[in-house]
Amino acid sequence: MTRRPIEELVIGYARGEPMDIEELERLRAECTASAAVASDVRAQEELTRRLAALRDAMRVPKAAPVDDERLLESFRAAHARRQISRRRLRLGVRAAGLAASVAAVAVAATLYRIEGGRMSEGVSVRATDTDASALSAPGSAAQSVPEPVVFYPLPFSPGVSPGASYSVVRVRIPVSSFPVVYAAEPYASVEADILLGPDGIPAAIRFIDPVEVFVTAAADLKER
Amino acid sequence: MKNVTCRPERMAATENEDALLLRDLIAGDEWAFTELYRRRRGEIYRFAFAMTRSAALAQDVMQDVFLRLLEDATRFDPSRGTVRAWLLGCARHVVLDRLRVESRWTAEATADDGPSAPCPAEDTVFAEQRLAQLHAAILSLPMEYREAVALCEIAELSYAECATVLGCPIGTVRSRLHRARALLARRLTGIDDRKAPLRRVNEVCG
Repeated sequence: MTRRPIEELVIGYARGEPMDIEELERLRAECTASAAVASDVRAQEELTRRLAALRDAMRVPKAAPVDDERLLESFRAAHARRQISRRRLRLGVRAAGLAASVAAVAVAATLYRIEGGRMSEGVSVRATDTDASALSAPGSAAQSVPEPVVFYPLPFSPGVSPGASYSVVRVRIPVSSFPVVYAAEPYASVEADILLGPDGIPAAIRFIDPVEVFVTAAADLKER
Repeated sequence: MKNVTCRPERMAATENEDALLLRDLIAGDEWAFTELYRRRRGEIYRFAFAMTRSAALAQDVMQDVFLRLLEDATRFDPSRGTVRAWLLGCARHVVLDRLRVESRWTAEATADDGPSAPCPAEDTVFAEQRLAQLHAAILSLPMEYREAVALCEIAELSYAECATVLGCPIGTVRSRLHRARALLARRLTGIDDRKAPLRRVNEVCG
């Protein structure tokens, strides 16, 4: 154990700090031997008394009731703020969870559609012989189409002749190939029937679900 | 404060109870806040007054500390010290900020000892002058020593608590306090030796 300097012992003694017997005897011996040490002890004891008196003199003045009431008001306001922020945090967590669920469902649906598209790719392009009467009665051309829709002549095509023989080919067109249609999913596609002329040049087109395509296109155009 | 109800089971004040009061305070218990305020405001006031010698500033500091407590109560970490040390740490920051802003490192010229008391007896005046001399001597100490005296001697913190407040080792606190006390004793002995004539009661009271 290291020997503490005598100044430290003097102050520790004056402050009433716990000391072991050896230190106490050493201090006593120093006081007897040196008047300066004894004087230091007296000065430090006097300082302790004065500090205690100063401490006692420092009483908190009675606060005005207004101040106390204001502090209580602040407490209530702070508590209310904490409650609101907690509620907001809970709402935020719930909203984030909901958004994550929606995103997960959307991703799953997209994956499902892509997977379905790949599986039907082999059979998506099929040709069936038909005649030009398909233009006036499109329902008879493709039996699988629930609601018949009309063919639209393609620009820059030779046009449709009533007497000619045409083939209808079911295709799946990537949405990204349309110049004005921007779908949420970049790999989405649309089913359509292409009317091929006898020379093999597409003459007209009809979408299986035209509403979806054109409504999306119109909405995107409006946004732009 | 109003609406303070007496709860005997909670009146046995211990250091650990402060943490419980703080927990209840965070949960919105008004009584817990009032009780903590009642128990700790004295120490905060004494510390702030010892550091500034201004009753008004000390009261402001006390209010500020409890307002900060309302905002930052959740930041208290029991592993880093007691609530008392934490509050005094807040008080220290507030005091240092105020002193920095107001440049009142010494309050000799602008000392504000609160409202003037009725004319006291000569003994009282003598005692008050001695206390004023001591307080002035404390304010004349370098800031680190002043903090050590205010925390250990006036707010009666242990060395460990003081070390938590000041963010330094216990040995540093001890040495700062010892140097501060040695300086104070020397200055007070010098003042006493000069035996400055005391002002008469009528001079003091005008």
